Amino acid sequence: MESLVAALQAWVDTATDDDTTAVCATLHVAHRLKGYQGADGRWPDKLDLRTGRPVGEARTLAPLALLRRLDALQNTVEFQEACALAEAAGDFGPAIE
Amino acid sequence: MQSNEQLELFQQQSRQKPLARRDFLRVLTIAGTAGVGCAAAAFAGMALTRHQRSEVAALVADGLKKLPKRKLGTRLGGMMVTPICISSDWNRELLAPALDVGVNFIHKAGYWHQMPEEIKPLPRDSYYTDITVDSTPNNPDDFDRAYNQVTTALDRTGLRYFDIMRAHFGWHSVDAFKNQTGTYRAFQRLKREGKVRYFGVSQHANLYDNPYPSYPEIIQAEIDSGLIDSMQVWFSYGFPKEVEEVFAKASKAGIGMTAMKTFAYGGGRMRQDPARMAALKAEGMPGRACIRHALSARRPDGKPIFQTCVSAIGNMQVFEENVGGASQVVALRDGFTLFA
Repeated sequence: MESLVAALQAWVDTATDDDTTAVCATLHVAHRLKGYQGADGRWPDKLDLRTGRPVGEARTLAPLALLRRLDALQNTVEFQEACALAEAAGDFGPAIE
Repeated sequence: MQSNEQLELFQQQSRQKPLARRDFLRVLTIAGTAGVGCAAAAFAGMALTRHQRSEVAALVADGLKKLPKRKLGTRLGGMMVTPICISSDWNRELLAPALDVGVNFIHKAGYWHQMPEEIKPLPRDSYYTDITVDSTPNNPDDFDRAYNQVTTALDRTGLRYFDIMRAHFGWHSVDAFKNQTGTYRAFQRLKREGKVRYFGVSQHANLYDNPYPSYPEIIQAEIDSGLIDSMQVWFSYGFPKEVEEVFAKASKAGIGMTAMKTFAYGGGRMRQDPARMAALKAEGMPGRACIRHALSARRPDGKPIFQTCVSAIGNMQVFEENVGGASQVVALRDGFTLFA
C-alpha cells in the first residue's frame, strides 16, 4: 500500500491547472480505497487491486495523506469521513506526511 | 510552412514564454479549420495562459453546440438530462464550457465545500444534482450517517435540495440491500422534508471490485424492489452480454440509467479495436468511441439503455473528445446516428 500511495502521490505531482488527468486517474483508485477502509480506520497493507481482496493481515494508514491531499486539491469533502476515521485510529505520529 | 510545422513551432515557443496574441490567433485559426469536435488537438502540448485557455474552451464549446437532452427514465418526474454529466471531480476549468454546451446534471455535487462560482448564479431549477451518501456500502443500516451527510451537505453548499440521493457504491449483497434499510429510511425522511427528491444507487459489482455480487444478481434485486429511481452502473465496450441484458431490464422498468467508467473499464479494449472505433465513427478517439458505444446500447424494444454518462475529464482535449461523443452536431458531421 505504501508503494501504491507513493506512486499515486508522484503522479498527482504532475497535474497542472490545465491538465488534471493525473488527479482523475488517482481518484479512480482513491474511490476504491475508500471502500476498503476497515472499521479500525486502517487499510490492508497489501491489496490485490484487481479483485479488491486484502493480501495478508497487516494494516496501514498509508492512504491518509493522499486522501487529505485529494480533498484539498478538489475543494471537496469526499474523503473527509475516511480521513477522520483514520485519524481517530490514533497511534501514528508526525512521521505520517 | 505547413500547419503541423507551425503548430510544433508555436508549441516550442509557448514553453519559453506565453504566445503573442498574433501567434495565438494563428493557432486558433488553424484549430478552427480542424473541423467540428477536433479543435482542441491543435493546442495539445502548448503552454497557454488562463485567458488563452478560456478562449480555447469557448471555441470548443462553440463547435460542440448545445447537447440534446433525454428523459431520465420514467420515475424521475420527466427529468430531461444531457447525455453527459459534470462530476465534482472534473478539472474546474472545464465547468464553464460544459455549462456552455448545456450540460445540466452534476454528479457528486454533495461533496463540494461550496458550489463553484460558475454554478452559483444559475437558477436552481436549470440543473440537477445528486449526492452520493457514504453509509453504503459498509454501513448501509446507518440511518443517522446517511441523513446527516445530506443535511450537512445542503448547509455547506447552500443548495435547497438534491435531486437524487444515491447510495454510493451500492450494497455488498442482495441480503444487505433487502434487510439493512437505514439508508433508504433516511431517504424517505429527507424526501418528506423536501431535501431530496429521488432515490438512486451507483452500484459496484464483482466484475472489477469486491466484495460485491454480480451485476445480474444485484441489479435484478434492485429492479424487483421498486425502490430505485436511478441507477449509475459501470458499462463499457466488451462488457458481458448478461450484464447488458440486466441493464436493459432496469431501463425498461423505467429506472433512469447512467453509464459510468465508460473509458476506465473498456477504453483499452476499444483502443485495440480500430474496426469498432471506425463503426462508431470515432477513429483514433477511444474516449469518444466509448461514449458513443454506451449511449447507443439498445434494449430489445430498440430504445437506448442509457440516457446519460459520467466521464472523468481532466483536460480540454479529453473534454472535446468525450463530450463530442454526446454531441449531435459532431455525430452528424461524423456520419454517426446517435439518437435514433
